[in-house]
Amino acid sequence: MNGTSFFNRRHVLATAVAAAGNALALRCAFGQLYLDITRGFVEPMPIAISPFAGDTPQAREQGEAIAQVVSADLDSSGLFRTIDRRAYIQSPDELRGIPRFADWRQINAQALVTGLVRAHEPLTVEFRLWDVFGGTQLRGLRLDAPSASWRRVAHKIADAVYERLTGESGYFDTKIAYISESGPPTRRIKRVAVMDQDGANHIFLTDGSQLVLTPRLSPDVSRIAYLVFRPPAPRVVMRELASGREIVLGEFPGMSFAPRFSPDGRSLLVSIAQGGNTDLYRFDLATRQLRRLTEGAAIDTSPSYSPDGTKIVFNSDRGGSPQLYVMNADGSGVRRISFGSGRYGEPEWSPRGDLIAFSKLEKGFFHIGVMKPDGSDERLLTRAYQDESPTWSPNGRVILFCRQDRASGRTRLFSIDITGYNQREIPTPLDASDPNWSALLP
Amino acid sequence: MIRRTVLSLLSLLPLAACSSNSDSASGSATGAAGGAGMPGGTVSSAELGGPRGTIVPGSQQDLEINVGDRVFFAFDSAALDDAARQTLERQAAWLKQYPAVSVTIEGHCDERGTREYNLALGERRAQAVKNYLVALGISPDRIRTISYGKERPADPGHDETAWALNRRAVTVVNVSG
Amino acid sequence: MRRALILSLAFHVGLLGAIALGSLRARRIPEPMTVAVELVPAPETGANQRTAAAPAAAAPLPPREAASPNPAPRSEPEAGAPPPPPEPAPRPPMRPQAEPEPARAAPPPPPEPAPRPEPPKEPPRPAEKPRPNEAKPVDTKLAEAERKPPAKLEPPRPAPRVEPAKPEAVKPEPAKPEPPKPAAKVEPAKPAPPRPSAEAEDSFAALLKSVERLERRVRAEQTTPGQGRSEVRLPEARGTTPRAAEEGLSQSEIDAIRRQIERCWNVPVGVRGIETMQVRLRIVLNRDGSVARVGIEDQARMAVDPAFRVVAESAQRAVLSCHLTLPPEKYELWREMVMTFYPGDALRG
Repeated sequence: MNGTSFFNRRHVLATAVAAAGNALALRCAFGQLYLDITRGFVEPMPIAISPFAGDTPQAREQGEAIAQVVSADLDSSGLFRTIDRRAYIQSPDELRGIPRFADWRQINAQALVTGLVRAHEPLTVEFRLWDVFGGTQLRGLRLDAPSASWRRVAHKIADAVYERLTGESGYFDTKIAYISESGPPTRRIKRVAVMDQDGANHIFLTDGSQLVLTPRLSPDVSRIAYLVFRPPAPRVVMRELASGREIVLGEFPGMSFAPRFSPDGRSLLVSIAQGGNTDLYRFDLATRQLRRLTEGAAIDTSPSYSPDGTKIVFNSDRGGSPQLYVMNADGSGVRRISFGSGRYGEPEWSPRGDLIAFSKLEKGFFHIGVMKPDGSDERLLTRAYQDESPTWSPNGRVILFCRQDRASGRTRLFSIDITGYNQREIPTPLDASDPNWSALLP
Repeated sequence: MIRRTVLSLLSLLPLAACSSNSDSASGSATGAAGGAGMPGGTVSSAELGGPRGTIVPGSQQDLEINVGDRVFFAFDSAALDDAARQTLERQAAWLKQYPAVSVTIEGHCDERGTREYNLALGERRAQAVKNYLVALGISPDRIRTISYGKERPADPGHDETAWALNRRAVTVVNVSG
Repeated sequence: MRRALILSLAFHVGLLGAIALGSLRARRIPEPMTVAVELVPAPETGANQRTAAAPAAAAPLPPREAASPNPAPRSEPEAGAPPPPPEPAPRPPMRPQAEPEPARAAPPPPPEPAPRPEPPKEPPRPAEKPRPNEAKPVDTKLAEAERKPPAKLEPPRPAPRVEPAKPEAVKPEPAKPEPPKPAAKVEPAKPAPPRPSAEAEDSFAALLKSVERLERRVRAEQTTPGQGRSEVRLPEARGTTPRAAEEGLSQSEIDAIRRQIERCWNVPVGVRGIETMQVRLRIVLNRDGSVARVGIEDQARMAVDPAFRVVAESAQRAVLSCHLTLPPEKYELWREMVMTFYPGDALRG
């Protein structure tokens, strides 16, 4: 299961349509040959990423480190394969001008990334992306940042490369919030943690003295909301990331949980459980007004906004078992969208709007799956003892989720491409659950 | 006075809870020292790991050993079955016996559900217990509820036996109040 | 006693330190977000590929925008850039002699084949680079091709390629229960030849599916003797009668060309909307089979649709990276080619 590649090299059917009747005439007349190409192969694009040049040892060292982060980012997507740099013929210094493309064609690099660290502090980095066979520059950027942010510079470069070569925005300059777990299962110690998408810059936001769950980053990645078990009742709290300061939301009636920011960051959806009934509410962060969105004796929770903010998908057992429902953002027009067998939960609307991810328990196994917002085209991407808490990369290409291993009881984070391939573990210092992938950092 | 004793004993409770997973079998257990008159076998003090030979009336330990502190549920259900109702009837009687005691009902779930759904389900279970106790004449003011979802399993296992033990609502004597 | 005091002091200092450290760490979360993103023009767009351009002479940078200490990252750097778009930097106008190229790491390609009409060797001075029409390689390069009545007159693709009895379409999918797709999901705005509606599936739907399906497919291919499935399609090529050498290339010669290109085309997986895309390239070859010119037909779409651009470039890369072996005596017949790439078919396999 691990490391299934997208890229079982496969060739596909072709039709050689040379041309029919009048085509022949055309061909004779103009000497043009018409061909239809309907087969190819699918492999990670071989790409060369040269260490960035620099004028001082310090700059060169920085350039080396940046290139490594860029490589790791791109490789992790499963869409690229960095060619071993020992095969590179041109040195970083030779690459300050136009590359000798023939040298790079020789090692079959389809694209080449070169760069230069102009200054160390503050950091100024230029990079260029080249089409090796076309012999053209595809992208060129200069980035300035305090040198402490050098990893962000590298991630932004990786994002630019990814975007130019895949047609989608990247997702490398992002954070992941999650719950770090330790201790025995019956008395698990849980802490809110935040790290870069690649695991770097890991920090704990809480000390483990209180049970915390389900962190969610605001769309501008300036705040974090989560559930904390703090008397008198478990409740949603919000903190500023930069200062760590808690922003008091006030007292919700009953237990409040499952926080979700609206796409504009101005309100927070919460689930409030009271008297055996759980409903969805929208809490306006400016006016502090709490507005009820669902009613009835059923459990309504785990909401997720569509990226345009007009709809909400959520989990409800109003039909007898947990299923997925979509409603308008004001609570009107509820309709069920999941009709497969099994029990659905934790719907997450893709940032690009085209899919809804969910977890599903069916015949003793958990799955992470996706379906269209109308419920059609359900596709299950994973199957395990316990897979849950899907969260999307900001470009809607990758899903991060939590997997518990039955034998060891360990919980860890994994990512998987929505094609169903390229599943890989995201390493964390301790066990991990409840991941939440941020938007691209501002 | 009783309260003070309870308090001092409660400080030992986490220890007791940790050392004995026997709490899951507590429904039928009864202590010789408690004198609450419940039928059933005896539980040696060594097994409890608690204060030797004494169970303070009106304490959590008393509830656990002599009454039964928890009820169990079917998968994705908050319905009380016969066994659960019997346990709760004993609890109601016990609570009437110690009117100064207030309790918190903790709702729990097995791990075969999502975290958030289970928080809601645990709350539903806790509320079902509260409702029944209130129906039996216990003042709602003496009963709080909280849901832990699947966060605090009683049995750390990953099989049907463990799940069944984890789908529960536990009545816990409040330390103060 | 004193010792205890010292110990206690040390402990408390340590504790304070730990707390301070903790809060420091907490404070660090979002690092200072000062990342500026600006465009750097190509040091020298195109043309002179092999001069290892004097290293020092790398492109002058655009003036450091207002050097604001915290310049907002420009997310659309390509747009607001001062210098002319370096983007589709012109390829050398002519590549009369393609390197006997790569892929097969064959004989180490002669570093640079001989006759390479380099444009006047030009010191890397991006500044004087506006030359707008050079930025659109195809316009100029394809002038020749476009003078012809072309494209539109192209014969309708013979027979709506009905994907005759695609084996896997019939196979029951085990394991992964896939709910039946709501039938006709017609992708709007599909230009081009009408294709069977089965192909109008959602972009990802087809290639995604399950691991099992892919693996099975690969297995099937392996066990199918030869090009079994090609055979199925052959009838479609009816009407093609290019048997006689003087009239055209033989079917097997055409197949050979196709196969060579297919082996060079790395189809970008997962591009949004790729299922329904078509990319048409116009190609002019040299007598030795190297590419003299290649251009992507739909330049308008290239400019506005990054996903299409990615796919189109992959096709172009396939052509450029392929060293075609062709019957030299029929040069006039294959000198100019129009290739249409169907990534949806390629991924569906």
